[in-house]
Amino acid sequence: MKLFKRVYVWQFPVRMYHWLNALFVMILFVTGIYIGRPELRLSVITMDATTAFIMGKFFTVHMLVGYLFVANFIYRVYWAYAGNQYARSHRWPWQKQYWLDFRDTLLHYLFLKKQEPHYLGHNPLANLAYFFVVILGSGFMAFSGFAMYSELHPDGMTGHLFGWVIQVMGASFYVHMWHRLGAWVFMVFVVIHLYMSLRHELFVRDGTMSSIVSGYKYEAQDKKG
Amino acid sequence: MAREETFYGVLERRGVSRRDFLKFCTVMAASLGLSSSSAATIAEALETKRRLPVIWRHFQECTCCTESFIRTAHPIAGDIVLNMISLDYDETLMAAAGHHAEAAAKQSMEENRGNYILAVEGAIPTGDDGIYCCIGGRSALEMLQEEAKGAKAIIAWGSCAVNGCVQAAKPNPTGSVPVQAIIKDKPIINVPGCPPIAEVMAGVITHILTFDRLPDVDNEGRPKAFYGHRIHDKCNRRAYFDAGMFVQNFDDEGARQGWCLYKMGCKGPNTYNACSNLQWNGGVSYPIRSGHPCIGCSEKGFWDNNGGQSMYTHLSGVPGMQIGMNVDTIGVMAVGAAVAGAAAHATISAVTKKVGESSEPNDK
Repeated sequence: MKLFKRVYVWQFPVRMYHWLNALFVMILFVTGIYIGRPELRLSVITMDATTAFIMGKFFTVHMLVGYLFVANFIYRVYWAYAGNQYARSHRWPWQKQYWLDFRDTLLHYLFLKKQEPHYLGHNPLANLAYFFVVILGSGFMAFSGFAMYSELHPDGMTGHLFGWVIQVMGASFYVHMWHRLGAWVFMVFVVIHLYMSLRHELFVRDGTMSSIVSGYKYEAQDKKG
Repeated sequence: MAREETFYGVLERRGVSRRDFLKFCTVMAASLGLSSSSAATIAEALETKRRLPVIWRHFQECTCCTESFIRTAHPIAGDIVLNMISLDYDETLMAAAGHHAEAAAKQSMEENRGNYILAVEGAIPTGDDGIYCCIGGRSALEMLQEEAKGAKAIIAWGSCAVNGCVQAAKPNPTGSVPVQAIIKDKPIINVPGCPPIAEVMAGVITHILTFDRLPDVDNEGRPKAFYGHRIHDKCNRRAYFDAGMFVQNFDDEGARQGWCLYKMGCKGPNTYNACSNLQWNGGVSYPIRSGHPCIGCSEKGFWDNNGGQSMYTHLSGVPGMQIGMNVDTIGVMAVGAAVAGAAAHATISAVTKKVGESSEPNDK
């Protein structure tokens, strides 16, 4: 019989960031898909350009939530310093030990290693995804997004802060393309993220799924006398 | 003596009325984004200042910039190229030919060293020592380098000279490059467009002549007055964009009603140019107003932007992918692959777990 110890892993700010981020990403994705490919069709009979503002509303929501997404992200970066040990990665992809840990976890996921290395926080594979998608990806989406936003008035403040992104990527057209590809990368992330957490929940039974609501995970204790 | 003549002197001789002249000055002031009082400054400059010596070179191009210029409906803007500047060399417009023409260019270059404007129309092929564009036995590359040395500034007319346009599009067999890729030590004003609007070309020259300095440029070297905004933001169909009313086919009701051409591949949201406010042919119309999506001709790499797709697709093709693979196709495929991968992984996990459990000794 195994004993489980209850550990407080995800502090409230981390959980709040997670759920807000999930909400914002979904809103941004849906509105962004519409902006790039407006499929809703209106007829002349029911709509009039003087009153209809469908694309305009999608834009407004996309920009508004974009700001919230960035604010939430900045708040999370702050919490990485202020929070508990699980609020930050303790190993990074530029460290050798990270890749050693990574190999073990990867081998397990490839069914080549039976024992799954145990981590209460994120395992190295998850860390990699968070590093590239959540940290770099969010940054990329924010920079490319604001660069496109600044196109409304390239001589303004936003233009001065983010206009260089368009230069770096070549032309406005490419910024749009990469931003949209980035959105799809987020969706791929969501699918894998959901699957992995569910799998972890079912196989390791440490309360992964409930932990992002309650904050608590369960760590198996060896039976002691 | 003709060399010392002012612009207004020439116009007067040609019978342009004072009224038309002042109208032109006002139009120029407005299109340059200056206050109405600066129309007087422009008029004064055009009346008193000596005309600008210009060497106008045609390299690898179709001459559509010159055609745009000389066919403009605005009579004075059209005259500008012939009169306002002292055009010492221009293959298309000058009377001289052959050795005389080259001699004129050389003479102007010597006499006005450090003062002349070098206007370049067309890209410069660099492949095989630049043999793909030779004039008078010399390559475009050689001429550009020589004539740029004594120039006060360089105006790159048209997309060819600014970003290579069609010659530099993949696979670019002649190794064609824009002016800014070769000349690094001179101020270059980029006036992209295929062709640029005649009034924009006139405006750039007016600015240089009036203020004795180059117009304010953005970070791509384009005059802010004309390239400071997207076509999209001043588009006469913009209300339909915001409303979400889009043409789906060139023969549908929306097309007849003049709805937004975004879904027909309009590049207005990605293109910086003055088409939607200055318009073409003296303000008659411009592509979007006439019912055709903007192809983004003044943007860098506009031939390749679609990843080889048609100019009538809005979503970008992804470079390196086969034709027809736009961002959304790839995105949906990637998400599909992730779902399939997760399902496969789940199945294997379930099987291996079962096998593992049954073979493990019972530890309870």
